[in-house]
Amino acid sequence: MVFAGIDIGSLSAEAVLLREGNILAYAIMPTGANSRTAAEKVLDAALTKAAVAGEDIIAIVATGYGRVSVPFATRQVTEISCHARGVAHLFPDARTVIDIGGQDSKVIRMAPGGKVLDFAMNDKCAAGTGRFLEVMARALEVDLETLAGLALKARKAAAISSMCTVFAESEVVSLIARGTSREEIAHGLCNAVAERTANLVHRVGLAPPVVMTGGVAKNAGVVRAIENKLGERLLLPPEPQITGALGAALLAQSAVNKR
Amino acid sequence: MAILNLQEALAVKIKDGLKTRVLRSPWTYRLLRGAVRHSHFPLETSRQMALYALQQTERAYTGVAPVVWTSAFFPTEIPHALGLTVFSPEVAAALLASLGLAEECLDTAERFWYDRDLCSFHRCVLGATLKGYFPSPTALLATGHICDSAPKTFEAVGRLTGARTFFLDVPRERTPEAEAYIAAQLRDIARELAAVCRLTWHPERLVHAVEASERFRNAAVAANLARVGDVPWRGSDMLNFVYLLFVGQGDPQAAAVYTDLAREAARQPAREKTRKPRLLWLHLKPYFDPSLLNYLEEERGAAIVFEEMNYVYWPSLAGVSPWRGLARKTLAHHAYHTTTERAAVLVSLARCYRADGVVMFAHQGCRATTGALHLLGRLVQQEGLPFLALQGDCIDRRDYAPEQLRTRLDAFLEMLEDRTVV
Repeated sequence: MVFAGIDIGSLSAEAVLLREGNILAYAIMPTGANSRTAAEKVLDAALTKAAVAGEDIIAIVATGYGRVSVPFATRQVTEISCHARGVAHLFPDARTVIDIGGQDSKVIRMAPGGKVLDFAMNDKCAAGTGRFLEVMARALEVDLETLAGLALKARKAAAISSMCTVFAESEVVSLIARGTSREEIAHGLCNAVAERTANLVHRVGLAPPVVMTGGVAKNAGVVRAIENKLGERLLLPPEPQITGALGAALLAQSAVNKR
Repeated sequence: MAILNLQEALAVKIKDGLKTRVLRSPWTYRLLRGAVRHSHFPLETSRQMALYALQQTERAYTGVAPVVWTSAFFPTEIPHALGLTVFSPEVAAALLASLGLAEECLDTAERFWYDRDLCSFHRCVLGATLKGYFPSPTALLATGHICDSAPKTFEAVGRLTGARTFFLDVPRERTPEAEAYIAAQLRDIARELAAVCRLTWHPERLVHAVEASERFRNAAVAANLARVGDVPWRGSDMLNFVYLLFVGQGDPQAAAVYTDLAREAARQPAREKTRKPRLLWLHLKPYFDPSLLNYLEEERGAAIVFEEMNYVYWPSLAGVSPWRGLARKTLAHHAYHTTTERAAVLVSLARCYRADGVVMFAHQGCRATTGALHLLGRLVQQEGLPFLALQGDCIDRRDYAPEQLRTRLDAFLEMLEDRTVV
């Protein structure tokens, strides 16, 4: 029996196929303008990788902001519940999840088994998310991977006072003009994201072990900055981006098993 | 007559260029009364409240009696004792938002340096005043003990309109001295208000207004008690009764509407048994978009079993002098003193109405709400009640992200459902 989880985020779409609790295959691709098309394509990509036919899927859970645009899903579940479930599967002892995606960041405090106890999400704007880092990397004329590398090399951090993406970009441009090194700016940007994330963590209460998921978990500069800010080591899944889709697939499996 | 969308009809009337001329025309109210009588309302008492609101609005715009604007939580028994027309600009701002007319008022206010950090209810009030949408006040009555930006807003409105502004200063302590201090202020305000409106103050009329207020209170308590029996009303509809709480205390007609609400509540069958979460709702709602609460209560099937705004926080006014009673009532608000006290009230309400969780619609710009948010949430959670702060705005749709709010609501409901299953 194959179960599928599809996570349609603002920037990327992920699909995970599961058989007996084991990942058969997964796929990641940009969401683009049409969530429904992205869901179909990413599921097809995962099915192709697994060499499984669509008819073999018993149940599909859709998650992420585009979850309502997946008409072929058996059920829609929020990314909060899915990330908690996915993390509990990978790290059964985990008590806190930090997920930073393209346009939102969230912190989940959970009980054993992935039961959500409390959560907090960024509000009103996309400051401190993947999109923020993308814009800043563009201002520094580097890609995201290089931005992380630069941050790790820095001995000190430039102060980035604004978290508004537009104002922070102009701040970065000013720092470049003043001759501040790109390493210091990159470090400052990672610290700014870490600062905002730490505030969210403290809203729900820090409970170790802490797992970080989402695309930004691949940015070593941000991960280190958050670790420094929290004084806590972050556990990272092998592929942080698919945790939501994995949780969705697990929820699809549990729903069928409960029947 | 087919069901008429009242909100759309009124919005079109106001937008069609006639603006306040429409609001001053008796024909508008005749038309709207007809529409109200033939429209569908979720509760029969909602229809009566709409008719009462139309009557009050007509009085305000057609100059039957001098108009006083009152800020939320000012004791309206005093203007009612003088036979004045009570106009709540905050309620009017909510109406403008529901009609899709708030944005132009907000834009106008912002052009005059009323910044977006200021509560949007008050920005909208200032914008609507600048645009001349609201009825001209003879006097303004403001208190800032719950809503701290009201006195500044009313002061600015006083400057703009030339109306005399009265401020009530409410001490923090709930002591006999504090009661005496407020009672003395209310007595002075009443006397001066009568002079400003060229009326004579008759003490016995205050006694009658306080009696009406007491009937209002008793009916509100009865309606709330009936709801403990799980009346299947939607919280989004019940939040509209805040209008009566803000303008009707001291008015026999408003007391009669609330009495009918209590009777209607007593006649209702209990809500169907369901495993869907039951919520205690704090503060208000986004007036410009009913879809959020429709989604919660209709699509998701969650039940708002009680609203903090409808809680009768004040004691009976019987057995004390009218002035002392009004002072005691002003001091009694559970959100004014400590967050600990407010949390204790919320926990007892949640237990009484068997709520699974507590949701606060945290209105941006409301210091009283957001300042207490963290502590309030923690205190409620310590009692085993999950708490969600839904950060949004009641009036200003420009920062509104409905999908973001829905995700938070959905996640909260999933969390509650998960707890219920176990």
